[in-house]
Amino acid sequence: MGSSPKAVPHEQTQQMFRQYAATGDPGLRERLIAAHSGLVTFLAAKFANRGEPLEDLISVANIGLIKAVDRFDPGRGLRFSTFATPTIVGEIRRHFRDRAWSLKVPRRLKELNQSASKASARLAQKLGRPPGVQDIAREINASEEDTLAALELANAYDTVSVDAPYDGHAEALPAPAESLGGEDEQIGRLELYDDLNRALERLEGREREILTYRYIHGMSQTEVAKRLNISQMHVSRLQTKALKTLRRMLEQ
Amino acid sequence: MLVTSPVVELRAPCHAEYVSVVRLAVLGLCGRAPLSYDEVEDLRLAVGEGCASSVQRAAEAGMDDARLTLRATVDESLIVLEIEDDVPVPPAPEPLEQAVMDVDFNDQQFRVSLMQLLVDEVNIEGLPGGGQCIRLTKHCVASDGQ
Repeated sequence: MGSSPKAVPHEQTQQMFRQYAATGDPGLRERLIAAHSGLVTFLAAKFANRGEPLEDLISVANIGLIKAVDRFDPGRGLRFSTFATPTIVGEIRRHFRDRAWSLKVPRRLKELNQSASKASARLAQKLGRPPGVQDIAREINASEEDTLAALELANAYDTVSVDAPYDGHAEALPAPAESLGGEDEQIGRLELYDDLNRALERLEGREREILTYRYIHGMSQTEVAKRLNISQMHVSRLQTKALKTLRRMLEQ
Repeated sequence: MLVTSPVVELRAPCHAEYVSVVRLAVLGLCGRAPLSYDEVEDLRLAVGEGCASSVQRAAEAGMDDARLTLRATVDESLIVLEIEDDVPVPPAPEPLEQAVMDVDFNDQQFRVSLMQLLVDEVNIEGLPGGGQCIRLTKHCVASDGQ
């Protein structure tokens, strides 16, 4: 309460609207929209506790504001906020009507879900126990399968991101997405290892030796040279040649 | 008012911290009516606005002992929620022309227009002993959701 977000002097707003109505200046339109962002945030915040992110509500409220700016007739002596509020609230409520379901579900099932959950509550009263799927199906005149689908649909009303960490735990548990299996890249590499092995076997003895020392034992060219009793230059040349051969064989 | 439906009343201090209690009561009461989730939420929002109006006037009048009453009549087809307080209503709010700002969120008129968007009918009347009663009416249309 008592927090008045930035407001624009009434007279100035009216003046800007008259000018915008006359010129259609897009810059002016933008300023008018920006000037009323406080109204948008204020109204969107009123609807914020219904399970939709505030950012989304602000977005749709802004659409309402833009529509209101475009339609407002300053000549009618109405305050802009008076004119815009129904448009903005209407947009927010439409968003709830259309988007409250996180997953798109067939309209028929959606309706069935509503009658099923109502019937479920009614039957629980009547029977004095939680009604079974059969009870509900009979009550709403639908097949058991449809009823089950309709009841399960309730889960689609409110979805949770798999990247969201679990709520209500002292220690942060990893998000569900993190416990999902991924593709094991190592397995994909097995094939490559096999190809490489075959190619290595086809190399000439000394070339294979050099590659083994260099890449498996991690020796420097000088160390390899010493071990094979040849010059470092020679090692370098043979290594380049060996790699070129290997690459050619692997590419085939 | 329908004779058949019982009236439920909740009295609370006219303080901001009790607005949420009143809103919660609305959830419990209106949850019994054939309304969708969003319709119930709309009612709660409207009641919250009504309470805010009372709380604001009480604060401005420095009335620490002001009382707030929610009176609810809920049945299958009609919901009437009354928000009543005992805070004297200040004489004649400023006329439109004198308002400097285009938007004043504490403006009673703004609150009323918001409530009007959310329920079917909004009636405001002064009470004989000082104080005000906001009556919100909502018709329950037996629908299977839109």
